Parts: sequence; C-alpha cells; structure tokens
Amino acid sequence: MKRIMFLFRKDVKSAFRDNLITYIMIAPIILSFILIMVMPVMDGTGLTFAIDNTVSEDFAVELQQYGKVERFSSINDLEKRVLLPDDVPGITFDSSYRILLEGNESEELIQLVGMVVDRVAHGESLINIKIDSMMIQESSIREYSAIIMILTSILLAGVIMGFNIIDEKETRAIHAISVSPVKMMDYVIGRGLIGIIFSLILGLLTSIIIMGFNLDWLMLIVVILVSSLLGILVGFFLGFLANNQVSGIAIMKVTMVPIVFTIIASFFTPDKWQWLYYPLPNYWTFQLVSDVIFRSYDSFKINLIMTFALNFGLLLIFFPLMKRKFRLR
Amino acid sequence: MLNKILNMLKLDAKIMLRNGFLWVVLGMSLFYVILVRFVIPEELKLTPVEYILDNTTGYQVVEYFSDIDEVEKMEGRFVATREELMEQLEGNGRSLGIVFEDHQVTVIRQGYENNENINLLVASIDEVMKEIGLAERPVYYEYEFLRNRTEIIPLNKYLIPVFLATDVAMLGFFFVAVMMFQEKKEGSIAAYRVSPGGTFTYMLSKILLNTLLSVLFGWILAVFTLGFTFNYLHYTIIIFLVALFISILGLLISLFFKDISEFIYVAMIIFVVLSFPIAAYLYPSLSVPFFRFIPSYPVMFTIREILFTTGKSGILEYSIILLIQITIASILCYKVVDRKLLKNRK
Repeated sequence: MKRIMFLFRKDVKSAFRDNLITYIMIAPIILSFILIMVMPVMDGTGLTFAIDNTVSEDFAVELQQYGKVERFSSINDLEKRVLLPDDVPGITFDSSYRILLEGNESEELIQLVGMVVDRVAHGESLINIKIDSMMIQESSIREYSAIIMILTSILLAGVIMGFNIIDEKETRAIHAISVSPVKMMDYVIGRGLIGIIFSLILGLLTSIIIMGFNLDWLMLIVVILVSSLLGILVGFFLGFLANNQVSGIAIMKVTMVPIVFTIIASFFTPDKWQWLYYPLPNYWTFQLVSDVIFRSYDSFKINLIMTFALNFGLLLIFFPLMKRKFRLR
Repeated sequence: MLNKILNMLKLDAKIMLRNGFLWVVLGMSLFYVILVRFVIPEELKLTPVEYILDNTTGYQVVEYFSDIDEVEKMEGRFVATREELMEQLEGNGRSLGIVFEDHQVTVIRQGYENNENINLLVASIDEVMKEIGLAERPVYYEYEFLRNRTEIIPLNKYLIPVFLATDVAMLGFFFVAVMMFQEKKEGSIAAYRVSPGGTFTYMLSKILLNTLLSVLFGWILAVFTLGFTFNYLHYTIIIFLVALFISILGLLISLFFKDISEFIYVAMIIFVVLSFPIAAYLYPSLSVPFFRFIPSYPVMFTIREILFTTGKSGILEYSIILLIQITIASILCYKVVDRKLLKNRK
C-alpha cells in the first residue's frame, strides 16, 4: 500500500507542479461548453432555402414552416448561393416556380424540395393529416454529447498516464523503480490510480456541464470507474510499446482511430451484425456509458460484466509482458 | 542554405523512421482503404427512420412501394399493428411513425423534433398520396440545374474527404508538435542553438517532412480506392498546402506549452472544433455559417470537388486562401520559434 501511494503521490505532485491540473480542469469545461453551443444547431438539421425577390411574401412566410429561408435581391446572387458547397436549393418565380439546384444534390433532396414547393404553392395538404406526439421533449443529442465527452475523458486520462510511463522510460526512472521495492502490481495499481481519478474528475465535470445535476450519480460513478479500465489499458499499451514521445504519438494515432471508429460504426450497424463488435472492450464501454446516461438499465448487468471482463482480462494478458519489459518484480 | 536544410531533413527523417511514423502512415492509409472498399456500405440511412402502418383498403401504400422497387430499401419499416408501431418508436429514439388510412394520415412524432422537419415529412406524404392516386393536383414547379447532374457518390467513397481531413488537417499538427517537445526534453534544442542551422531551417525541415507524409497518405488512400479517375495534380497541391498550413499551426500552438501532457488537452479541443464541419459534410442541407470558417470545412468540400468533379471553379480560390494563411502563420511561427525556442538564434 505504501509503495502504491508513493507512486500515486509522485504523479499528483508532478501534475500540480506542471500545471497539469489546470489543464485537466479547464479543457473539459471548455469542450463541454463548445458542445452545448453547437448542440442546438446540430439538432435543427432541417433544410435551408434561398429565394429571390420574385417570390411573394406570402410564399416566403409559408416556406419558413419547412426550414430556414435566406433572401437574395437578384437571380445572380441566388445562383451564387446555390453554387456554394452546401446543398441549399434556390426558388424563383417566373410564371411558375423554378427550383434552382447545383446538380450534385441527392435524389431525396431534389424530390423533397419539389414536394415542399408544391405544398406551399397550393397552400394546403392533399389529404387530412393528423400529428400525434409521444411527448419526448428532448432529442438524444445532449445524451450523445455527454457519452462522447465521458469516453473522451477516459481515453485522455489513459493517454496522459501512458505519456507519464514513456517519460519514466526516457529518463530511465523506470530502471530506478525496478531496483526499488516497488513490485509490478504496485506499479500497475499506482499508475492506474491516477488514470482512474483523472477519468472520474473529467467524466463527472463534463456530465454535469452537459446534462446538469439530474444524473444517476451512484451509477455514473460506478460506470466511470469501470470504464476507466479502458483508458488504463490504452495508457499501458502506449507506455509498453513506445520508447519516446514521438513513437508515443504514432502509437496513439494507430490505437485511437480504430477505437473511435468501431464505436461510431456500431452505432450505424444493424442489430443482426452487432455480434461483430462483441470481442471489443471499447464497444461494451460505450454501451455501458450509454446505459447510465440514458438511464436504460435493461442490459446494464451484461454491459458492466463485459466491460470489466474484457478490459481487465486484456490488462491481465498485458501484465506479464509489462513485467518483463519494465523488469519489475 | 540548401545543405543545411537537407542535413536537417535527413536528421528529422531518421527520427521519424526510427519511431515508426512511416509505418503508421502506411498502416493508417491501408486501414482506411479497407474501410472504404470492404466495410462501409455504399448506402446508409442517416436521417430518422419512418415506421409505416398501412391501414388503407387493399394495402395501397405497400403496393406502391413494391411497384417502384423500393421494398428492399423499406425492409423492416412496415409494421402490422399499432402496438408494433409504438414498440418500434419506443425502441428507437430517432424514428417517426406514419399510419396510412383511406382518408387520413397520422404522423406520430417523438416530441423533440422541430416543426420544420415534421412539415417536411408531411409534404413528402402528400407526394406519396399523389403517386398512389388517392389525390391529384397540377404541378406548379420545374427544376433547373445550374451544372450538369452528377452521379450520386456512394457513401464509402463520399467519406474519403472526411478521412483525409481527419488525418491531414486534424491529426497532422500532432506530429510536428511532439517532435519539438521531444527535442526540448532531450536537450537537442540547446545543442541546435549553437549549431550553424537557423530558425528557418529548423521549421522547414519538420514541417516539410510532415507535409510529405500527408501527401503519401493521400496518394495511397486515393490510388487504392478511386484509382486514377481524377486530377492528381490538383489533389496533391491541395493536400500539400493544407498539410503545410496545419503543420505550421501545430508547431506554433505547441510553442506555448511546456510538454505534451499540457498540449494534448488543448489539441483535443482543437480536434473537436475541427471535426464539427463533418456534420455539415454528411448533411449538406445543414447550413451553419460559422462552420465555413473552420479550416476543415473547405478542405472536405474542395477535396470532394477534386475527387468527384462537378465543374465548380473554387479550387484555385481555395489554394490562394491557403497560401495567404500559410504566409501569415509561417511569419508568426518563425517569430515565436525564434524568440521562445531558439532564443533569437538567426
């Protein structure tokens, strides 16, 4: 225990000395606030229309029921707007409505704009349409932003831990540790502690900023603690393979892209193909964090077990390899 | 001068090779090639799913979709009962329900959707009613295409500019920064200060090397996914300029931090901000003015234009903008490197 606390205190001291604590606290706050500002924009993923002054005011007002409307004073300006990289159709009037398109829009968009113009021009629907609501007031974008930030915090904490190990290798402090009474288990736990604490601080801070205080606190703490094993795994992987910071960044890039990509891919993969992701610890970590943020606990137990088992299992596999490489007892 | 640059380049190249950078670039480019060619499908529905209950006499809606060969696309979206419909809606927070009856259509929304999106859905339902023949009215519009119609780009290839932007624009600045941090740590910077090399040589060597790696990445990704179907000169120029700019930016920003542990948090913020335009690229109808000022936005759209030409002329304009950005950034970077790193070494 003394040896573990020695390593932990060493990391904490250097974090305070190097102002790392400041960056740890400020960066997720800034990031979370940026996400909060962008969320409403992303949530309103409707259409934008561009019109010129040949379109009547009544038409323009009605068109606003279907999306944003940008107004231009001439057909030339309207055409310039349509030709910008984004897909904004132009509408002008000359005995009938002309829908101006660049030519690279999707078929769905082309048809949809026609449908909208048709409806607005006629002023009424072809058939009686009733709208019912399930009264779910918020989209999931806030929850997904929180999940992304928690996972980012966990991985970031792991990367910092990994670079601390690389630092010890570069300065040969690891050799000094290897001839000290510190054992491999002490080293793993001591190093892992800082990773866990950073993950917890960052994860909780970002969750509060994005989701507010209406959180399942106990479950969230448990989930972050268990999920932090993924960050620790990444950190040890980095520290094990890289001999200096330059190779550390190279390995970090090679590791992070597949980790992040598989999470994104699993989101879009149909249920019948989800089994492809089952051997991956990051997949289960994502599911676990999603459970607690969405407060959907149907599969919580299995997600918790798999997250712990896969991350801890891989750490156990790594353990003898690290012991040999770092020459710890 | 040329000798100094070449010597520095050789030195930095050795460091990069010894640390596996070349293998990382080759590995990452092949990873993306595999993704594009074998993993990512050509089509994927990125908008909310509509679940449909057809209660019309004679199941006219189902028949309509069969007639237009859309049944495969609609797989899993037709339900048999209201209960099944509600179950699907509760299970998928990004879905909508539509119940077709002979004289009425009911749209069941989750509740958070904005009214504009619901109205768009209602407009498309009108069209289905017209196509089925349940209603009729004259057409008051016509289409005009300002350029030639282009073929729809399959999703897997459509994502190539995103991968390029991620690797070149977003992660590119890490490498130059970490090389600088490594040299600071090892004391090589102190040794360099008393060597004949200058600030310009120091900067150019690292930035150029990172840029060349980015170009190599871009070539491998393009050759093995699209072959030689586009203008490689334009493609190379844009990647070269973007990588140059991002490398200079990476070096400039990193000079204000002591080590990689501090820098990584700020780099993460920059990475997240640079990734916002991906949403605008995947949903081109999402028009967010401030996205256009984020460097990765023009990168993705310009590369898309080069890879899948529509006749747009913006490539030259964007190259000029990049050259201006590179000039400003490199002047700033030179001054900061000179003052902070090399301590006014000329």
